Amino acid sequence: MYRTPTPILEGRDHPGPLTAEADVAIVGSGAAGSVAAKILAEAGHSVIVLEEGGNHTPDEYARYRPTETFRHMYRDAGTTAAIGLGDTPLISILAGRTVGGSSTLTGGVIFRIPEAILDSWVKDHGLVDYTPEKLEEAYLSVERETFVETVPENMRSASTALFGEGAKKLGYELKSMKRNTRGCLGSSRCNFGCPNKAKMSVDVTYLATARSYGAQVISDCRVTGLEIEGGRATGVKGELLDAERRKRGKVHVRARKVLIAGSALSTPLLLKGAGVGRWTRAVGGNLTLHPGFRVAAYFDRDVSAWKGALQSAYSDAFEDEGITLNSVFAPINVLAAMLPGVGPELHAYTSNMRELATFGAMIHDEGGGRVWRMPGGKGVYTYRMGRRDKLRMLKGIRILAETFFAAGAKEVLLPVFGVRPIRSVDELRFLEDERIPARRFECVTFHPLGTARMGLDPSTSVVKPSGETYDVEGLYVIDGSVFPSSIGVNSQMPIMAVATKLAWGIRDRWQSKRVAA
Amino acid sequence: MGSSAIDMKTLSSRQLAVARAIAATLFEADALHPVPRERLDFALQELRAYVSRVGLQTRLALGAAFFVLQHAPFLLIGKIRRFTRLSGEARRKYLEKLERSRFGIVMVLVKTLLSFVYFEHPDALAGTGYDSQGLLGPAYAVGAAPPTSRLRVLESSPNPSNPEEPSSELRPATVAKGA
Repeated sequence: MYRTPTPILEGRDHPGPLTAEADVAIVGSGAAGSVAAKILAEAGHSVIVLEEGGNHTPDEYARYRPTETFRHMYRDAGTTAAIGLGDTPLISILAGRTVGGSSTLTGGVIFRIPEAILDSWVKDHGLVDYTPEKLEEAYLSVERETFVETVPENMRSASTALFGEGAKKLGYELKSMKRNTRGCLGSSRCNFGCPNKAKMSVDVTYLATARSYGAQVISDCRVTGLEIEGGRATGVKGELLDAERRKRGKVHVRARKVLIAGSALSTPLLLKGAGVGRWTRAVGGNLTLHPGFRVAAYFDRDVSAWKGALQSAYSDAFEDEGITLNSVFAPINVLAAMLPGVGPELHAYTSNMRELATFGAMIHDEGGGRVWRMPGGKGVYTYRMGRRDKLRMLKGIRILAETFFAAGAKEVLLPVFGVRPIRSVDELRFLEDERIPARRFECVTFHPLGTARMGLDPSTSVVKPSGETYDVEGLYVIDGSVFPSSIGVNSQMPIMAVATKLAWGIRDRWQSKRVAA
Repeated sequence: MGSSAIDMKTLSSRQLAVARAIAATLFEADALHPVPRERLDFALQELRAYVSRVGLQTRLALGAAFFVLQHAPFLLIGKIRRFTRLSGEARRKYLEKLERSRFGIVMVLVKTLLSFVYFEHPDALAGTGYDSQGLLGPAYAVGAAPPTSRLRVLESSPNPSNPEEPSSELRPATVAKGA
């Protein structure tokens, strides 16, 4: 039964320590945590969701400037990065730290996990319950709850339309994306919080519904440890943070089940701190990132790329080569950072940003990353890019640049530090030389996955197909950490669908036990 | 501004002086049109607030970048002077060389953060040709207040539908919330 949503308890305003007891404690209020909170609260369980970030309402983040969103809603103000080992770029990792997690900051893009990936999950990892057919119900449920719709062609920006023209000339097509939006006005700043409350992120969908069913959300609450008694999870402990992220009181939540949904960056830190997977090195390993990049191009005409949906179209024409092309834009101040030159030269570029178009790509990577837990519990992230992935990046950059030239671009800016603007296709030949140091690539990701992977073998996996850890009873991991491989597409829907399936399983097994008792 | 928590975690006054000189060089249209002081003040104030929220790794990297930028002119343009003591023309040449050198990553880090904050100034933003409301948000589309004061209102929590009335939804401005 629906009730008035419970208020979010903001740790920054709570006096003194806080203790609580619930059936379920969920660490993290992002795409996975919110889904599980809704499903388990709806089933009648008492649920407490603990979120490290602050509570920023849609009314508030609608008005934030980009750097304010960075400061208040992104982990490390948007400066988290994976350190490249060997011939690898520094990869900027954009991850949310706010009520609603990264879902409030993505482009809202919805893809299902490609069938070929699920086939490999079944064949290589024994995950027989993760076939497209067995995930269908979870997909439909998420699509219903988050208002998934296809972006109409008239919402495409002129930048995307131009790229589409170039693609057509080169023999491939753009397809319309699906997104979780309702009433999008095309303000092209999804990554900094929708200014029109049109993005159906989990803070306004799943989490709001969970609160209507009585779930309690505590923001500004950093979980620092898991409580385990006799091999069974019994709760979590942590600290409340003030508005300046300083500790201000202890938190202790006792719970019958603990669900971790802190993202592939944070979840392994908690697991390692509790000694989970101590003997296998599986926790924190297998980090995949979908390294992404964008190419910008100047045209002899007004593009005003900020008018239209931030992300509206994609191409899977190069899927077999591990490359997905995605339309993308960024606020002016973020784009200006990639423009070349100093003084008059830089000014010439920045004063003509009406003529700038951009398009992006990401690669389906092998997973050469690791999350390291430092003394004190902080994380350090490393990533080693395989040769195959580096070649994919070079190819992807070339495809984007050639497509822009086919569309009539007069100048193309590549995401390679130190390379001057390119004025013809011939000048792109240098991209055939794989000796270009990868550390010169400008790289970013929104999709860290796979640091506590699911599988049948406890020596190489962290959790069972049910999401429960092999080492600790009653301790579940339900976020993108459990993915056994990179998926090659935007991860929001896959994370929500897998979390749905795992939460349904937890709910059903609990109910079966009750009936049996 | 002025919080001790921010002071401890952000740039020092020396680093801010270097950042100011870099911003003035980066964003000037030409020698006859220097960046207005008010825009630099805005950018530096925002940079200071921004850096107070970045992670330790970035703060250390930024500290190192400012040190290199300040002390490396001799290596790149043969001038035995600190960056802040160079002429405007020498500063520009130095930064151009640095950007194209193998140490260009130093320039990338500083240029990125400075661009983030500088192009949020309404006049700088308008200078790019941007003519939409999405970037600044609907709150800034109302009223006839001058651009800069429109930016600052977020710190004092107005009601976007009526700038004369305080909002009941936003908390009182604090350094951490609005800084």
